[in-house]
Amino acid sequence: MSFELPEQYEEHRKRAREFALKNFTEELSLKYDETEGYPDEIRRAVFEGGFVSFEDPWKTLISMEEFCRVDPGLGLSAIAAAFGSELLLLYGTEEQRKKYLEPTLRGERISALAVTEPVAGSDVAGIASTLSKTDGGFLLNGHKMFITNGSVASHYYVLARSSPPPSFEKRHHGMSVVIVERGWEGLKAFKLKGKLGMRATDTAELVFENIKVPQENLVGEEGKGFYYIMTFFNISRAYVAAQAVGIAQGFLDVLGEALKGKANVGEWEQFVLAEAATKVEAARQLTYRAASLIFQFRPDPALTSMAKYYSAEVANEVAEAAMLAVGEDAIKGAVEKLYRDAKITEIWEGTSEIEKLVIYRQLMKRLSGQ
Amino acid sequence: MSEEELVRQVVSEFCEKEIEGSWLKIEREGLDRQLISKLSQTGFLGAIVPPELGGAGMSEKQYMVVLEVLAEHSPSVSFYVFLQNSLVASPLMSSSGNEELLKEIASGEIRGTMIHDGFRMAKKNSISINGGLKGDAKLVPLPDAEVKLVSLNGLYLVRGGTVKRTYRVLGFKGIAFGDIEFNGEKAVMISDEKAESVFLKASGPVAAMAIGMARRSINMAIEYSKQREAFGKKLFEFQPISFYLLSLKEQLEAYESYVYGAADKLRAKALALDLARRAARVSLQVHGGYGYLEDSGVERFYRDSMALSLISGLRLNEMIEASRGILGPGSATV
Repeated sequence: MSFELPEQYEEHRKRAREFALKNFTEELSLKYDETEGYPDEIRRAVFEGGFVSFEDPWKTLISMEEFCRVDPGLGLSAIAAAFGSELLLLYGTEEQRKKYLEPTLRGERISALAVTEPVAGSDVAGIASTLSKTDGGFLLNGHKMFITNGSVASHYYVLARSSPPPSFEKRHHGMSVVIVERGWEGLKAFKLKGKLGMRATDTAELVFENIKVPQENLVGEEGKGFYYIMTFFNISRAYVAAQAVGIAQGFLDVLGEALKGKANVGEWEQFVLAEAATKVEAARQLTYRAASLIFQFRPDPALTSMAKYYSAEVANEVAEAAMLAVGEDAIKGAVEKLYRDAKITEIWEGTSEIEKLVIYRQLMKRLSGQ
Repeated sequence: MSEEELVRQVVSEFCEKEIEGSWLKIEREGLDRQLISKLSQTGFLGAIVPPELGGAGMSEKQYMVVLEVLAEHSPSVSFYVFLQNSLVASPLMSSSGNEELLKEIASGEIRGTMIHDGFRMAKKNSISINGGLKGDAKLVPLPDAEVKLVSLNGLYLVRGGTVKRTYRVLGFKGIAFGDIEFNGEKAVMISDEKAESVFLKASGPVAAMAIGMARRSINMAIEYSKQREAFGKKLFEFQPISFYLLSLKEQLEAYESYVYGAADKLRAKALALDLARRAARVSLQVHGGYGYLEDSGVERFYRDSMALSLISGLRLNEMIEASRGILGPGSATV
């Protein structure tokens, strides 16, 4: 039994680190942070470099970690260009994969997952967007919020209600996922600006007005959309955990550099570094364990949620410790940017509170032998 | 009504009228001359300056109340007032011959700032006095301020210096920071005090700003938790959210009396800053994605509470100082 990654992935880590250090220059990083533009040239280079792979997801996970260690905004923008596309891998038809998935993985298209709404964030089953039946497909109406890649995507995987819920408790029934293309009539995207962090990532509000969606763009079975999205989150949360591990490691690097430059390091600061390094390592191991089960097609949702919740907490704790240890110099440049980038990991793709609920429910299921 | 309560009421009314509707503009464009003039007219700009010099002659507690309430509405404005009072007027008041300058600062006619290198871990400012002030200063708040107090082997009063560039930092977006180059500008020593000592004396005011930020973060989270629904319930109906907010509220009340009552304001400052950071983090968490956007007014407290923690002193030195105050001179030496 070995807890080490195979040599090929350590090699990949080295490549990803070198790529990030070479391409995520301070100048570029600050430019995109200030302008909130989308770094398309970085995305293309990432895909050309083979840093995103659905065939070998360990590569994507390690890329995510190493990229976020250097610059979470730029790193995530590039890797998330295929966001939501696992849905097609799991539930899509051959035609859908050929038309949408393959070009996305070649870096020719950008995808987005449209789930969150103004009135429904953590409560996915509370969404109000609707899909009504028409000849040959559906009419989509609704409003989505905080959609990553929302104003740059070529296509969207949209969750909407296709039939009324049988009861409040069964609100998760009757939802479907459809693919909507950017240029279709009735779709409006409004880029959201002024985010605390991850400002190189594109975030938008979407409005759907009577969009005609052909039947062939239904993903999987009608009415099963909620389950598909939850399955997707059980995969994507491992990547968010890797983002958080990367950010935490980035702060550990900052802390190490700051202490290296000091003439005398007191015992208190020695403890600060030791505690931070321990937490980062624990978060990494938890994330890898959750990922290894997902990548073997036997995901453990409790473990995935533990990895996401714990890694995000560690990222924010280590961020605070490093900021306070560095002191006034941390208020400007790459370090303050990393601090602003860290917070979102506790919020998106399931807040830490949602993760704890998942963990509890899964553990109770096990205890009751289900 | 006590004098502090009266001051609280006056500042609150001022904030409702002059700041609440324009805090975002202040964040984006900075404090304009009109607002600075109003801060002077109300006496906030020269809060601690004696009345005969055009100031309000407030007690430390009254001045702390001013900063606390301003910080609730705009940490940028609060920091501006703190800079003029605690970091510029206070050292000027401790030496003679600065009366005219103090009048100009209290009136808002000129602005002051402080330049120091005491908190830098690795990089030091390279300013020296050798036939006038020479060298570069970085991360200076209000770099174009007419008057600068420079901390070297004592505090020096300097006018001028060339602003090389300005930028915004993590917090207090309404205030520009920048780099300055000095090329032989005249520097007059006004005292043998150093920046560390000035900041140490300002522990109470910093703690008050932190309390103001914490209160606003907590109040915004409580308000939002009563509006926002998830899973068919208001957020505050969920035990974990309710208990997070309860705990913060309890700490706020306890810290508030400690901050105003403690003889040793250094520990009070550390606790209040810690609370401000935690309250902002929880508030952001309760607000979810909405709190993450600038115009929500939530995320600024997350940035500003950390920025204040970094700008107002080196935490490690202060922990050592506080330990020695409580455990004796031999403590925290290794």
